[in-house]
Amino acid sequence: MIVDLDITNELDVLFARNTAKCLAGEMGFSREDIARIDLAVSELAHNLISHAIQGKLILNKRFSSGQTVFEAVSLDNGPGIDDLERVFELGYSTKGSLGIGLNSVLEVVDELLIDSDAGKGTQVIVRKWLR
Amino acid sequence: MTVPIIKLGDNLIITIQTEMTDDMAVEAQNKILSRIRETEARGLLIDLSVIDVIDSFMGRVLNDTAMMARLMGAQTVVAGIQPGVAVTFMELGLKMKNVYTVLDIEQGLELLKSLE
Repeated sequence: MIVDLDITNELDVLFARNTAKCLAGEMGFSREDIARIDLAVSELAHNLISHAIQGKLILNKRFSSGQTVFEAVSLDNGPGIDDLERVFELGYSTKGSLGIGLNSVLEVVDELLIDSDAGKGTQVIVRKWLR
Repeated sequence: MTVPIIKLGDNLIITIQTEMTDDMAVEAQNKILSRIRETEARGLLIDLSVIDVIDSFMGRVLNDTAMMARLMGAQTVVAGIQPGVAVTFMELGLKMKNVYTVLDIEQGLELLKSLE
């Protein structure tokens, strides 16, 4: 199952969170893991509207080496990230926010892949394994 | 969609009834502060029992609101934190500052009474 969402405003963020929760629930994740997925999707979607103004969020149920995996992919054509190393430093922010967004995502998912070209956009993939 | 604020004695009770957008959270914060001013409330009881997750923005708004309320002379009690909220809050390393936490509204009212 693949859900493809355009994220342009905060209502889209709420919709994406709800969709992710439903999908994770159907997949059999525990309540705590659903909360973790909800949080990760919330931070990714917020990043899309605050840094890139708009973007796409793709929610996906996948199978990998015999395991069920929840995957969220965020895609945008925004300004990209100059210094990828620094985005995971606690308190690093270019927007004057707390700087815990991506860091917090890292804490609650099993896998986080990030790819960015300055000026071209950013792709973030997060995965949570069903246990 | 606005957040209902109920005055009960010297306290204000706020029940968040749906997941909120950032704008809604900031609007609620403003409304709470002006209601504290109007009613001279001494306590603030915020019920979060329907909230599944407090993300970094919501966490900040909640802390800020409690801090502002405190500056205006009102203590903040947060009730109804769900297991998922507690787990993710811990994992994020977020801290609830200036806030008392209780399991439900009933305990919250008792706590506010004892703080008076």
